Amino acid sequence: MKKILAYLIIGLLIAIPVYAYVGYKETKTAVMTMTIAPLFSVSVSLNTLDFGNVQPGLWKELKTAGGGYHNEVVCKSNDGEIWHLKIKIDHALTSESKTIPLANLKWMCAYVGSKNSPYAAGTGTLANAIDYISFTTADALVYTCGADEKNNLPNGIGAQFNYGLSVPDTQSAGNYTAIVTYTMTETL
Amino acid sequence: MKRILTYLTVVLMTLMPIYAYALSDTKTAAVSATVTPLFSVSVSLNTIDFGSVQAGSWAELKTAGGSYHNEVVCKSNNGQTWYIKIKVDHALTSGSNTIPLANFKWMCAYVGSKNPPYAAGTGTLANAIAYISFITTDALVYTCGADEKSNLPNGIGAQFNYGLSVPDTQPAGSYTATVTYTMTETL
Repeated sequence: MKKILAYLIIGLLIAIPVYAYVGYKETKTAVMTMTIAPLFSVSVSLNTLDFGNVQPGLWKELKTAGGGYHNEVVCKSNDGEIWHLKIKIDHALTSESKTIPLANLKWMCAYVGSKNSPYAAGTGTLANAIDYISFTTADALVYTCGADEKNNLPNGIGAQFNYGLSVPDTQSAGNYTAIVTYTMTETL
Repeated sequence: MKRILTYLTVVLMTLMPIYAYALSDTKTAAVSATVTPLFSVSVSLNTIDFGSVQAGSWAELKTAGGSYHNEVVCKSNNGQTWYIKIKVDHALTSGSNTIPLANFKWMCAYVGSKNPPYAAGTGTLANAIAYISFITTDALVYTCGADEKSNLPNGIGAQFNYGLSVPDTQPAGSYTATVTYTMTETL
């Protein structure tokens, strides 16, 4: 009898842990990675600066967007770094062998503001007073973003530009052209 | 230790390019402007009034300081050769009376720049400096010089005198006609 009880007890002690263990469980892991690509882009609302017909000796301005500005340059970034907006021209307005002096073509950045609600004014720094500035063939700094504009998605920051042209009173007739370049860069 | 250093090196070399690369983007816009041709002729005095002239006499008009009567100013920025021409619509007429066309004459005695330093014209007078009878078709007066094709802002001025020989048999009357000055790129 004692032997039977002993065997029973031993058997129970062996079985109980087996049946007390509730459900198998095992885990494995997988490493998920995702790269948010830097979005860094500049766009121009209007890529033509067409003064049309201009008479010798006259000054003409471009403010075609409702009389307030001519075109808007929108800078978008999620890179979290300071960015700068620059402007330049490839050469003086030229018609065959004739040119209009480079200093006679001018730009003005009159306003910078957020394209994201609530559309506040820019928190960065305009490099110049709000006035007409002669184009140069080297990059000229227009704007340095504010700390809270380093990341400005989804809609970016918009800089509004006007342009002016003074035609010398001795200027020969002709169709004069040039190319303006807008650069958004993290390099000052 | 070597393995750790190796792994660290690999990680650093992977990360460095990412943080050393400064982002940049550009867009362009085309600038254009059409400087319009300016091509005009003007006359300093648009009356050629001989006043009262007796039959059989010769009258000259040199009212501008005694040297010329009026000045025709030609302006252009078109970069092409231009010409001045002159004509009259008909003989001086009063009712049914006319003074022979050949008796009414013009002379272009001087052409010069209206821009500093106000040099003499570099073009070509079509005639010797003498009185020439008016005709009813365009007569060439002057062909501009190469450096006068574009002459803004003030242009080139041609100074004219006028003469009238009244026949001694001419009936009295008020005689009129119209002179036309033409600046043209067509010869």
